[in-house]
Amino acid sequence: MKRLLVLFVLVAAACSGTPQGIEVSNARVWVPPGSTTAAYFDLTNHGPGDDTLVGVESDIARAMVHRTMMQDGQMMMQPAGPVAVPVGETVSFAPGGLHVMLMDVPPLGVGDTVELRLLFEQAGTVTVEVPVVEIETP
Amino acid sequence: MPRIGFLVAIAVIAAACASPPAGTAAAPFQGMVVDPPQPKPDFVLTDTTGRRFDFRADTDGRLTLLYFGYTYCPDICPVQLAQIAAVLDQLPDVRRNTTVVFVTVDPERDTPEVIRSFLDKFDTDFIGLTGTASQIAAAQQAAGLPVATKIGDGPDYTMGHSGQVLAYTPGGLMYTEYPFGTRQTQWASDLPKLLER
Repeated sequence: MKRLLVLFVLVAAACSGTPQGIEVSNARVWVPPGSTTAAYFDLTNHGPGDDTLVGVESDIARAMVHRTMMQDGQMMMQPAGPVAVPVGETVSFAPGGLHVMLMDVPPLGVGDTVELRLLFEQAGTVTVEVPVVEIETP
Repeated sequence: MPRIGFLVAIAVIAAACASPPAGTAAAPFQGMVVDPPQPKPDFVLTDTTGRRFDFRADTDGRLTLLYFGYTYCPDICPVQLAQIAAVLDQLPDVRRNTTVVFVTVDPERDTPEVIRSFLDKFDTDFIGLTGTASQIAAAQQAAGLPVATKIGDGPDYTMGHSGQVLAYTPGGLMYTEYPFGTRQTQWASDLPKLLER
């Protein structure tokens, strides 16, 4: 009976379809106009617990998590430090806020992709192939 | 008699709908209104071909969009420039009468070649200016902006800088400025009106 229950729990977990861990969506890198560019994405934490993005790596460029903010009438861009991604929440990296700054990037065009490795405290390394897109003009 | 009352009511409603809502005549722009309007600043820098560029004289009579930024900036500067390029592409009449001027706040890394290559990704007609640190500081002050500040050390330092685009009419006055986050529709609504001033 106990074995049956374990089996049932396993099957239920497998069939529930509830994703676990960190989901990276809406990821894109802008066509670099110079030696730098930015990557943006949404991070959704499906659990089981809170997590923190502690770094980003790329083989084609140096990468740093930055945050742009308004301070004393100026736009300031500074290293963001660890970024908390609480369970059940989505943290958006978007123009004018959090972004991955890529430095010393080679020329890239629309259609290229850039592999980014997102390093999380709990989830470990999450690798994403990020498409290169035109700079957004909303 | 009730019919006349009904007609009067219709007329009143029609009249109310025909006149613009209060306030629109005073503020026809979607950008951030600068009140009172500010005169075009007077400063001289060097363009990417090495020529002297007298901002006031060399943009005289043209709608002029002025932006202080730097090419190492991945997040704000490219958006502002891409927005202007995209909206000017939609408005060829405006484009013909508009000069876009980008002034680097990072002359240390932004050589004339680096600035040219960067601007060409947006529009080959955009003018890029540089100068000594003190000339560039004076240009920002002349435009009424705080002087950009260096953040961090080493090769990856960034610059804190004003993110807005300043718009000067052909008459030489700034009625509006455009912070980061200005949308295409707002640009497209304002530029033709600014051209008439």
